[in-house]
Amino acid sequence: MNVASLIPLVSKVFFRSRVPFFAIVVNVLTSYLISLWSKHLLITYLLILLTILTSISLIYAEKTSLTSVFTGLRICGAKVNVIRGFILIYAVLLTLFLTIIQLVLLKELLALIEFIGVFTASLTSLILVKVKFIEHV
Amino acid sequence: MRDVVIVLSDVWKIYKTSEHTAEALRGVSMVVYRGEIVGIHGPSGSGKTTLLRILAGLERPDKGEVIVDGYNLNLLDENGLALIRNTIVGYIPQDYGLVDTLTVFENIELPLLLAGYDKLSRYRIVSEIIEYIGLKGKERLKPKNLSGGERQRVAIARALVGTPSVLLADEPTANLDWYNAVKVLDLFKKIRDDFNTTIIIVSHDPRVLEFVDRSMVMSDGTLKEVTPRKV
Repeated sequence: MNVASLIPLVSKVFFRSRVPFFAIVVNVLTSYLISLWSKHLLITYLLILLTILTSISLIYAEKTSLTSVFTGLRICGAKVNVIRGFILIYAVLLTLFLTIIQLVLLKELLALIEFIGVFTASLTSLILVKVKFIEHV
Repeated sequence: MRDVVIVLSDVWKIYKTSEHTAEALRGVSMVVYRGEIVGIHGPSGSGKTTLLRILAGLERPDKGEVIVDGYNLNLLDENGLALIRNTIVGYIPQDYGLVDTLTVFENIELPLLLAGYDKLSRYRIVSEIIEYIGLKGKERLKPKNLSGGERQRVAIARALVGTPSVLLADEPTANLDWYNAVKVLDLFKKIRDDFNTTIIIVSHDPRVLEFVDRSMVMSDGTLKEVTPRKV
């Protein structure tokens, strides 16, 4: 199985959870607040931090469901790169959902900081959820 | 003469924490033949689940040799063990291990998806197996909308869909009433008769042993055979 054929599976798991809904709510809210206070750099940074923390919270809120996916994949014989691919695609989807509107509103460098921040936080959280909870297979 | 499918030779598994050391398996040896249903009975914490996890390649022994259908699991890397779980061994955990967000059909399809089957083949094989285990009409339901017995059947179907040589069932009747437990145990017999699959069932319930060809008792990490092999 190649990573590209994993995309439909990850999409099913992602879109059937509560994650996209909450991601959109947070995205719209922080985008609006950033547009209001765009001259206050500190507030913008705080909102970026809030978005990064949101990505971590969303993954931990869905940890039961995500653990069942990792467990299922492992039992069914998913190779190591398939599980890694799943984590990577999920992190990309969540990052896109949490940043895509803000990318339009934020200045170039800030947008990049937010994108990298959310992606790194999502990836780390997913790996931690997998390592910490999959042991109970 | 029947083929040998599983050979365990002096298998040890030791869990170490900062506070204490627990010997889950202490020199376990066993031989299982193709098409046999073997029951392993023992109290909680006796090492039954550890034994199954080692046979499924989910854990590695600290000492000893594990051979499943001709493959020495000690010599395989993580990807090799994954391939064994995908093609040779079907594992049914006590909590079924189903993916909550996927439907019955998608859960059963998972091993075929990982093995790289095309969409049409997956549809045909999964439809056949759903009919075989008696879950026709429930393909689109999620596991949370099924009864315990139905979830167990989905887990069995998922383990069976890749036509493995060996099925490993961890406490398959633990979450079921006796009526549903008998139905699941009868299904195991049917699978053995239809596919000549080797089945190992571990259970703390001694009634399960009435449904097996050969039974063993696990106690404090050691395994003893209690009934001779039926020929």
